[in-house]
Amino acid sequence: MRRAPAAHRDRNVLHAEARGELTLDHAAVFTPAQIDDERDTERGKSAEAVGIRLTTAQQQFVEIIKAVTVKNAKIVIMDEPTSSLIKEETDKLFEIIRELKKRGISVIYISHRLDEVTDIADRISVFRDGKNRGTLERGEFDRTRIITLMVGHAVESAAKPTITRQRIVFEIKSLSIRKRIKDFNLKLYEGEILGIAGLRGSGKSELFNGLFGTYGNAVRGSARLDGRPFRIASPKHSIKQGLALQTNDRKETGLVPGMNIIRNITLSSLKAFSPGGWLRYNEEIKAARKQMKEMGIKASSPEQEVKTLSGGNQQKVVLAKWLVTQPRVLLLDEPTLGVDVGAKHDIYALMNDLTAQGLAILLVTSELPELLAMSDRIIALHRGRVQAEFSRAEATQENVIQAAMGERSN
Amino acid sequence: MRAFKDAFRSPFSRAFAALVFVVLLGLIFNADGAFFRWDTHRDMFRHIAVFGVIACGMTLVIITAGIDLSVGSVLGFTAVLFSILSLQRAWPPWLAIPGCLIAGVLCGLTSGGLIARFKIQPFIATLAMMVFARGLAKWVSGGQKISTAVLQPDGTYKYMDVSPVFKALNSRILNGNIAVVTLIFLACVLICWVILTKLRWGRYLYAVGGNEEASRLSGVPVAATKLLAYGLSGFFAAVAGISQAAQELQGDPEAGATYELTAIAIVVIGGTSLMGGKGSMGLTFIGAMTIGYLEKILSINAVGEASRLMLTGAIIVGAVLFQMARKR
Repeated sequence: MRRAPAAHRDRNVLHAEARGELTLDHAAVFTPAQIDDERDTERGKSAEAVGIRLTTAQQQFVEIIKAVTVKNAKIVIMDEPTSSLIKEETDKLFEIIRELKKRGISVIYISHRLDEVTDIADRISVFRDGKNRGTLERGEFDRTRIITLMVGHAVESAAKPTITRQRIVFEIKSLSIRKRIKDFNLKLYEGEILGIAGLRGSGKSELFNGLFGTYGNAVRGSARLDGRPFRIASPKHSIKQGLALQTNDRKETGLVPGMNIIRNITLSSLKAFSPGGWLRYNEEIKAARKQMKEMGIKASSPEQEVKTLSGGNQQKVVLAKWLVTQPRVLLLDEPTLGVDVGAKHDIYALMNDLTAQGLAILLVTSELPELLAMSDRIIALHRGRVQAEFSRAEATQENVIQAAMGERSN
Repeated sequence: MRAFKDAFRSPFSRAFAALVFVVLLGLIFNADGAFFRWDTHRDMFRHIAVFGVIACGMTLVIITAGIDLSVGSVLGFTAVLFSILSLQRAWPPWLAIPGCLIAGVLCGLTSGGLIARFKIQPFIATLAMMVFARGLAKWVSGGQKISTAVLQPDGTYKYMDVSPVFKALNSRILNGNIAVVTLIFLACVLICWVILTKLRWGRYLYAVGGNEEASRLSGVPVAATKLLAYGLSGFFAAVAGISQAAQELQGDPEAGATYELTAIAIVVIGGTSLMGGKGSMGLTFIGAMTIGYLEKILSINAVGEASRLMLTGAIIVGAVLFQMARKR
């Protein structure tokens, strides 16, 4: 949805209302307080006053109402309309969609959230690589059938090989970061995936960024990587010592969107591709092609700009960039955020491959089932402290959440 | 139509189209055939050389999503310094030239340091350097133009010999067909092209301009990259200052005022985005020719200064709108 200035958009709706065209339930869009405001002041003036206070959700609702009343639309296309909505707002949006349906207006609803499409849709078409892979009627579709169409083959949930803890790769002693992480201790074993559970504000991302040197040396404590003392100074130093951080925001901190796939993949290991400072572009191309093949990055050419790739492919480019640096420890912060189901499973498979080769992974994810499925061990962070530790066998949704919320178990 | 559209998709072909448009203007308004004479084109290249040289450094800075407003003043400062050293102090060129280049680099590094270390916005930091370097130029020259005439204590003037390096820089080669300053411009274009396309540090310039935080987290030395960009911008401003002094046979402390704006216009008209992360030397070279021809055509048609400035402004906007059309 294109976002026009809120005030302008709002004025359109109010004009429509003045002409008696706006017939959708007003209360569904505006909170009572805002309706009062409108009554209090003259209509023309209040349009801007109200416009400024509209939330993203309300702006989207106004946009929809504008489409069907002012523009008299018969078909409304919604592209990921819930990406910035909370649960209650999504419910409200669905109410509006059902209302539109009753009035004979068709809705094309594009989303990567399976529970939403199965909830709202009468028919579902699955697109993969630019082609319609099949259309399912209500009653025919369920999660597994949709996922199968999305991925192209049946997906078995990633079975997890058990690991034998032998060698410590990464050891952290009494780490404190900017008052957000306090006295953090950790032993990470070769080939292990250690999941970190925690609510928002628990310090998960601060832990990763602090370890990686994003905050420079404003960090206390000591660490050893592969038996050598690990010095936290800057991202550059950390990369050199064998640490890699996939951040939770690939557009802002992961990729250079205007550069092509090759240049993004080699960015953090550029010294290896430029002996004496002179770039060897052919070797860069070779390395990038290898990564693209191994990770299944789909693009028209390795020279395609990464900003034109899908979320899943972008994430794979970020991961490829870090693998080229040949890290010993990989910090993954929400590796499957905003990624389609197919790419999600590719990323899970990749994580298992990497650990099988001896890499150790620290994993942060807000999707609890993912955390439970992928981790060999889980620690729960609460307000910057380790609250509890669970083995793979002990961990359940309930006890991990409880610990993350700060409740002491047993 | 489709093929026509595709042909104009790359920034390079768009920059080229703008140049062709300006040259077409020249063919139409040829001032009774003046545009068809070789020396018109030769003079264009000679005239644009000084602007082109500072546009080279400006390209590097703009690719990092920065801007350098100080180049005109640094040009003035180094022009004065070079004149004092070689005309009045009779320093040999192998001392005077590196001395001036170092002075230029130091000016650039100072702006770069303010930007990289203290996170001052490039516009502000280089604006301050623009004022400061102009002050330096007036201070070392005492506010006077530095020429071969040196005031003696008894009130008479003593005329120094014009240093051979001035003559060499102001001469033409190949039967007077190519000016030395044009060659200097071409050499600067080549150097920057090598930096941007062949060197690791060139890649860093693009990366920092494209996404500074992602670059830092990928181990790119962001501060050093910025220092490099502004240091080189100062270097090229000094090269331009030396050339300017040689062309004018004097060091004028007012030299180079508003040159930074012409340099920015050259870079932008070529199609390098002020947003950073994009652009190339080829584009800047075409941009320099576009601006050069534009000014030449206006001058051979004896367009008055007032109209010339207004027309130049309008045509810059037209060319940039044309560049942006692809983004719709």
